[in-house]
Amino acid sequence: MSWIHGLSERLRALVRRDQLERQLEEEIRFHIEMETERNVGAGMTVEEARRKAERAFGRVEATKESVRFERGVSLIENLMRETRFALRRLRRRPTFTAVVVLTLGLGIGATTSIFSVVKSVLLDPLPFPNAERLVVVGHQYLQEGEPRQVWLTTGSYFIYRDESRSLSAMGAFYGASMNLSGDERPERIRGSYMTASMFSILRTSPVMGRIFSEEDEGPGAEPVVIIGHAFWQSRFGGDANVLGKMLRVDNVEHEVIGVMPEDFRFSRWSTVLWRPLSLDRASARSINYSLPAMALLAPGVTAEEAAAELDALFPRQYELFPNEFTTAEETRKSGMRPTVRPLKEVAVGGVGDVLWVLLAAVGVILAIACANVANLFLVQAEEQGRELAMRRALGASGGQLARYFLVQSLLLGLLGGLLGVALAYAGVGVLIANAPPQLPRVSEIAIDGGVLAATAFVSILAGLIFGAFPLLRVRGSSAADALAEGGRRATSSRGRSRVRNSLAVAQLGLALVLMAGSGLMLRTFWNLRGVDPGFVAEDLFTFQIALPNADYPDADAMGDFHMELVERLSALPGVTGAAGVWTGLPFEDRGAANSPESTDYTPPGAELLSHPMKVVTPGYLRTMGIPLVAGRTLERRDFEQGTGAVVVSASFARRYWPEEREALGGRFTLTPEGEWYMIVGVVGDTRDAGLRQPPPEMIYWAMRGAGGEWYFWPRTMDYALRARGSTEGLAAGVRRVVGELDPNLPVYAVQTMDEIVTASMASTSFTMVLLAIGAAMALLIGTVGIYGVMSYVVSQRTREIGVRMALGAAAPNILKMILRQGLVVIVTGAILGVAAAVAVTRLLRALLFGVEPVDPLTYAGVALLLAVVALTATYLPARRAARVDPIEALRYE
Amino acid sequence: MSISKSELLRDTLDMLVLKTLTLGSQHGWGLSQRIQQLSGDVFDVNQGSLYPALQRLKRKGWVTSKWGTSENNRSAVYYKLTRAGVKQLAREEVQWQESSAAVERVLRLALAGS
Repeated sequence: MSWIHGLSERLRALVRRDQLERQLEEEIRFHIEMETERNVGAGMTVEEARRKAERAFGRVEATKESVRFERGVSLIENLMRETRFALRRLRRRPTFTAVVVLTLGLGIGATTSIFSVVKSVLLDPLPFPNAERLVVVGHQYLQEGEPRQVWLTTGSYFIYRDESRSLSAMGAFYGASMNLSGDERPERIRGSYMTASMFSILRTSPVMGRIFSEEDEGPGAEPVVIIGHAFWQSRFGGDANVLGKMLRVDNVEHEVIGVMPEDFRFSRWSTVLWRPLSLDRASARSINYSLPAMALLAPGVTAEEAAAELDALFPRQYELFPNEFTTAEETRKSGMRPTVRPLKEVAVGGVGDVLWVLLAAVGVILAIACANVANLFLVQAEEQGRELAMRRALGASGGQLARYFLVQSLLLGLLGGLLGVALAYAGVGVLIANAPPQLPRVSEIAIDGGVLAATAFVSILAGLIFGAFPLLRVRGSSAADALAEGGRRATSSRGRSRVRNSLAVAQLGLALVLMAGSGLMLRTFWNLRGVDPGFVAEDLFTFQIALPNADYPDADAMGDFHMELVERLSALPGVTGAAGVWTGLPFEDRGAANSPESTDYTPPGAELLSHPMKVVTPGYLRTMGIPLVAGRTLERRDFEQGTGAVVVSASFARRYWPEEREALGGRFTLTPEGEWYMIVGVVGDTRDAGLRQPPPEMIYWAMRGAGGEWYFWPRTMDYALRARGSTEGLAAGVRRVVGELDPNLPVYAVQTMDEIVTASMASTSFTMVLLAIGAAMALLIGTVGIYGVMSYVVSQRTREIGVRMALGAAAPNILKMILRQGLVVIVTGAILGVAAAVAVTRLLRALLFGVEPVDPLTYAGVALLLAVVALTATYLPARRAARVDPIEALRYE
Repeated sequence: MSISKSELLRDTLDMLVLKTLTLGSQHGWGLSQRIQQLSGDVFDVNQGSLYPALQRLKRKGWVTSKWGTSENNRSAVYYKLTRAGVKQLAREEVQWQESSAAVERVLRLALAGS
C-alpha cells in the first residue's frame, strides 16, 4: 500500500510546492537555531554559536536539493519548468511560432479531414451487426461485352431462398417514391417495400410496435406501414400513441404499426416509411429480373462459394415457373448468371478511386508542410547555436539538451495538432455540406476517436522528429567552434544549406505534382462543360408526377391524364413548350431499353442489340430543342391513333445505315407476333447517359402502341417546360394546373435542367475543387519555404555581399546573383516535380475526360505558374540583398 | 542481495530513524541529537542526509509530519511513526540481523582461513 501513499504524496508535492518549500526553510532554520542555542549553552558567544551551528549543518542548498529529490517529482517538475521556458521562448518569437503552428495545422487539418472521410466511407464496416455477412444477390449478363447488373426474378428469389444452403436468410426490398396525402399538402416521399425477413437479416427491429407478420404479407391484408424515427418526430410530433394511427399513402389508408430506431439507415436516400413486400409463390415467374434482394451468408461461406451454388440452382426457376418467352439455356446465352456481392462493396464501390486520390494529395501537402517546418527548425537551431553551446559548456547533459529541443518541438507539434483538429472539424462540416450525391454514407462521416488518436500520434511524431533534427546537427559541432567568434559560419554550414535547399526543392516538386493533378481536373471540368448535350438546357424547368394505382388503375387513365396535362401546361403564360417523358430526363435516365425481335434492315439471324428507349408525350423533341435531322417528329396523331411510328437518334441511324436519312422507313417488331413499328424521323444525338458517355442509340416512342393500345404504363412521368421565369412562379403555376386535374397529386423533384446538368458533374467538380484547394495550399507552403530559404541565404552572405559592393559590385548584379541561386532551386524542383507528376497522374486516368494524364499544355502551364510565384518569393530577399549597405554589412557579425 | 554502498548507508539511516522514533515523535534536530546520544556518539548524522531521509520515509508512508510547538515555544515539524512504519521497522530489523550475521560468518571464515 505504500505506493498509493507515495502517489498522493507526489501529487501533494506537485500542487503544494510553495508551501512545502516554506516548510523546509522553516525546518532548517529551526534546526540551526536549536543548535545555536545549544552552543550558547555550552559557553560560546552568539555569533560563534551561530557560525558553528551553520557549519555543522553543512550545505543548506544541497540538502534542500536532496529533500526535493526525495519528494519523487523531480522529473515532472523539470518537464514542467522546461515547458514553461519553452512557452516563453515561443512567445518571444511570434513569427516563427505562428508560421510553424499554422503550417502544421493546415497540413494536419487537411489530412485529418480527408482521412475521416476515407475512414468513415471506405474503411469502417457498415453500421449493421452482421455487416461482413451481408450480401446483395442479383444477376449479371453481358451486353456488347460489358457486364450489366440486374436483380432477381420472383421465381429465382423463391428458389434461392428455399433451396440454397449457403444463404442462411434472404429478403427482398425495393425503394419507391410514394404519394403522401391527407389533410396537409400532398407530399412525395421516399419509401421502401421490405419482406419481414429483412428485419432479421439487418438485425434491427422497431423501437415501438412490431415488424411485418405473415398476415401483412398475405393477399388481401389490411394495409400497414412502419414509419421512420425522423418522420415520427416531424409528422406526429413524437406522439407516444402513434401506433394505430392512419396514414394516407398512395391514396390508401395505412395503419402505423411500428416506429424504427433513430439510427437505422438502410439506403442512401432517407427512407420515410416501410411497407410490406408481399411475394406469392403461386404467382412467381421466371422473367423480369427486377427484384432487389439481400441475404445473409451462412457461417463460414464466402460470397464466391454462394455465387457458385446459386449458379447451379439457376435453371430451377425455369423448371418450376416456366415462362412462354425464354428458357434457361437461352437466357444463359446472354451470359446471365447470379452474383453475390458483399453489401459494402455495392454501397461504396466506385467512390474509392476519388477518395484515395484525395488522401494521397493531402498526404503530399502534409509532407510539404513538414519539410517547411523542418527547415524553420534548422534555421532556428543555428541561430540558437550559441545559447546551446553555452549550455553545453556549462555542463548540460545530453538529456537536458534533448529535453530543451524536444519539449519545444513537441509543444509546437501539439499546438499544430490542436489547430489541425479544429480545422478538420470545420473542414469535415464543409465537406459533408457539399458532398456530391454520389458519395455514399455521408451521414456516417465523423471525426471519431480513432481519427483523433491518429492525429495526436502524428502531431507527437512530428514534434519528436523536428526536435531530433537540429539536435543531431548541434551534436555534430563542438562547443568551442560554436562559441568562437563568428561561430555561425562553422565549416559544416555548407552541408546544412544543402539539406535546406533539398527540402525546398522537395517542397516545390511536390507542389508541382499537386498543381499538375489539379490542372488536369480543371481541364476535365472545362471539357465537360464544353460538351454539347444535344439539347438546349437553358430555361428548362422540370418536375415529376407519379400517379397512384388506386386512382389510375389502367393505361387509359394514365395516358389520358398525361396528354391532358401536357395540353394545359402548354397553355400557361410564358411557356413555349411542354412535354413529358417516361424513361427519365437526360442525365437522369432510368436506363430502360428494349431490343427488337426482328427487323427489316438487318440481315436475318443477326444478333439484335438492345437500344435505350424514350417514351414521350407530344412536343418533347421541340421542347427539349433537339434538332430534326431527317423525316418528321412524333405528331399528335401518332399518340391519339397509335400509328406505330418511332423516331431514332442519329447514332442509331448511323449504326445500321451509311446515311442517316436512309433510316426512314426502317421497320422492326418487339415480339414475334407483334406489331411492326416504323422509323419516321431521325433527330440529333443527345448525351442522355451523361456528358462523359457517348450519345446512346436511342428510339423515341409515343406512348400508344401500333394497335392503338397503350404499350407502356407511364405511372411516373418527368415533365419539362421551356419557359422564362422564376422557379417559384413556374412551380406555383404548375401546381395550380395539376391541382385542377387532381388535387391529391404532389408535384415534386422541381429543378431546372441547368441544376440537373450541374449535379451530373458534381463528382468531377467536387474532386476538382478539393484538388485545386490542395494545390493552392501546397503552392503557398512551398512558396513560404523557398522564401525562408532565400532569406536565410541572404542573411548568411550579407558580409560577403558587403565586401563585393565595397569592391565595386553594382546592385543589379547582386540581385541577379541571388536570383540565380534561387532559380537553381526552382528549376531543380520543377524538373523533379514534372517527373514525379508524370509517374503519379496516370492514377487519375479514370477521372479525366478529354485530356491525357501526361498533357504537355497543362504541365507547361503549371510549371510556369510555379516558377513565376517562386521567383517572386525569391525576388524579395534578393532585393534586400541588393539594398545592403556595405558599411553595415562589414560591421555585421 | 545486491545493494550499492550508498543504498546500504541510506537504508541503515532509515532504520535508525525509525527506531529512534519509537521513543516518541520528535523534530528533526531532536532526532539528530537522539541518534547521536543513543549510538554513544559513534554516529554523527549528517544533516544533509537526515532531512532527505525523513522526506523519503514520509513518501513511503512510514512516518507522518505535523507542525507542533517545541520545548522552548517555537513551532517545529514533528515526525511520528505510523503503523506501517512499525511493521517496516520490524522487517528491517530482521534483515539487519540476517545481513550482519552473514557478514560475521564471512569475517570469521576469513579469520579462520588466514
